[in-house]
Amino acid sequence: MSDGVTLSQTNVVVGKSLWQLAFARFLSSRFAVINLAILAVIAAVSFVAPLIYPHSYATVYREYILVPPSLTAYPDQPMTEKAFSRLMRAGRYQVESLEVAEDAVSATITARKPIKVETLNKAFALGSMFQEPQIITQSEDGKQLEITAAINRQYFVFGTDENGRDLLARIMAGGRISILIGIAATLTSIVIGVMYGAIAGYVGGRTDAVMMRFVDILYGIPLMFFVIVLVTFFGRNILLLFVALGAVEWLTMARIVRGQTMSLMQAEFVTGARVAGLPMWSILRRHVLPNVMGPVVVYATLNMPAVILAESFLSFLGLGVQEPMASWGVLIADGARRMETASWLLIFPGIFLILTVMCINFVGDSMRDAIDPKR
Amino acid sequence: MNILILLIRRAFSAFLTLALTITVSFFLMRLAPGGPFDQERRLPAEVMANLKQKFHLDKSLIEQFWIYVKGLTRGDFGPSMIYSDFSVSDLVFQGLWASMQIGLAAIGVSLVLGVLLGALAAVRMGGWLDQTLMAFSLAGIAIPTFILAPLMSLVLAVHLKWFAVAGWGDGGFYYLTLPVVALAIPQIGIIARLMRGSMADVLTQMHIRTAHAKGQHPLLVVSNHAFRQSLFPVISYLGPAMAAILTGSVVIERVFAIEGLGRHFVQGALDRDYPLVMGTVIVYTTFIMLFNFVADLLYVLIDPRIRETGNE
Repeated sequence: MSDGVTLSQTNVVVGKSLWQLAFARFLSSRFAVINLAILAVIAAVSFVAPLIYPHSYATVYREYILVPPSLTAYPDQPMTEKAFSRLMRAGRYQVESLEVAEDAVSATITARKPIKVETLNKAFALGSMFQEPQIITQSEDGKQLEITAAINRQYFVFGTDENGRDLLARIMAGGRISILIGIAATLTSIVIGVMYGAIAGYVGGRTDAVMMRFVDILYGIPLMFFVIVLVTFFGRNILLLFVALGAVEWLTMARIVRGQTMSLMQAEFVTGARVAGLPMWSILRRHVLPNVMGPVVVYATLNMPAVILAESFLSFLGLGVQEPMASWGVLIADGARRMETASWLLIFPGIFLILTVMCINFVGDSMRDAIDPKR
Repeated sequence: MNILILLIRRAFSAFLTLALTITVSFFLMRLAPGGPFDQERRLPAEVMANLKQKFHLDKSLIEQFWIYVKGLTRGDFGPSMIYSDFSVSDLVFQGLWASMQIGLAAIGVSLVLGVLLGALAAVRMGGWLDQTLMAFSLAGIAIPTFILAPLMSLVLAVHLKWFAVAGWGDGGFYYLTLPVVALAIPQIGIIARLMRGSMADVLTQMHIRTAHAKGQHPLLVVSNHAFRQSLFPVISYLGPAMAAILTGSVVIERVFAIEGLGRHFVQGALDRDYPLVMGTVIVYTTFIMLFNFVADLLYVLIDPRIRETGNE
């Protein structure tokens, strides 16, 4: 730092902020990036894929109840025959002959009275497996028809549930709810925990002792049971779920922020700010909070899986979101009920939930390592 | 003498916690819309009035609270509003008996296995055994009980028929193994990790090196010099472990159709059976506090430094 040195323009080293350094360290870990990529895929499946995916989470396919997962298109031959004869029986037609081809059926049907085209079309419209039939030949009295109808081919990669809804579409919808609740409840816990902890740490003294004693007492209470009481008694709306879960999870956050704030209060720039006469809010906002953000972000990330699991736990007990909306917990609860005959209903939502929870945990761990290289 | 002060302080804070739990849950429930006597068919006004009078619902909230607290001091949880022939005490203690057997068995299993596996992993730190154990413990923690329990029941009970699918049965091995193991697995994972971490720390300390240097058998070094010291994080985890096992038992009792405290709690909440929900919440809180208390006592017994000064 001698006075004689002059900086030439080419020699200027652009400084990197601590966040930029942490970000670079995070990206240099292959494990972290892989986990982040998996999370990105899950988020894309939940939020973007529904825009292009052919099935909606609420659409009921009555011909395809509890069909197992398959990469080939439904319906197969026996299903087609069964569905066709059921449709014809409902319309009081007699099936004389039936031939199932790759993408169409051709059949000869008879009836006691002359067949009207409109009633025939109505009979076909009862199901979604066939398109409107084409009449090839008609007998003189109109009682016998030779028809052909195109088959609507559907893919159910993950199978369907007991109401004939596509499982993958429901997993997508469930992922939206689970992830949103995870994020929203975590944000709630950040807001409460950071404010509470920062004030306790800043004010100190007896106020701090009382505030933290209160946190200690809350730690001793089984708060999950309070959430259950709250949700059953005040109705099951999603907003309440956010707030209740967030209000349960803020305790540890408050402790972390309080500890950090207390140590920051010793720092000279905070003393300087106090000497300069800045009010408490300005000091907290300008000097304290930016410096506690690192641990807060890490803890929030590690806390999110707990919130997602808590929501699934509530949904499993039947206290979560309601039909036809779904969360992963709802799907798992349905799957557990049906697992003896339709194990895919339990396994696929389970995989999504576990994968998400594990990846967020790993990302959180990597973030902690990146922000605090000493560890 | 100092232990006494510590215990009194803890007892006081436990009392505060319990008082807060009772007050908050009482008013929270009463402020919610709906009541235990809402039915599809409305009851005649006179019947309703009689029912309300019987359960003191016609009095003001404060009076109701006073009546309830007075009952509590006599150990009376009041009558159930839905199961008209039962008092809440009957229901709660009958459920508690079932839940306690499963819960205590689960916490015993997870303590023994978790501590042993964690110690094993710490001694073989970095080796294949350590890595395998830690991978399993991670899986045990990450797979939630409400997925693990149905899967275990599907494979081990439905397909292999080794265990009963559901029910209490004779309360024997055949019926209770699956619920206990399903409850214990996440806790085994967590305790093993805690134990591994703390033992790895202890094993780097000077007195361990001295013990090795004087030629003691490695097994004895671990059991005599490292083991007790490594137990501290596990002991302070006892309270949270009990809380987790109680929460988990709500799911387990549903999956395996066991008439325990958790079933009463959820059903009571759905039926708005105020005294039943209060009773279960109070019992849950007491249990968790009891375990925190036991953990404190163990701490004092194991660590001479706390025994002397009374400070944590």
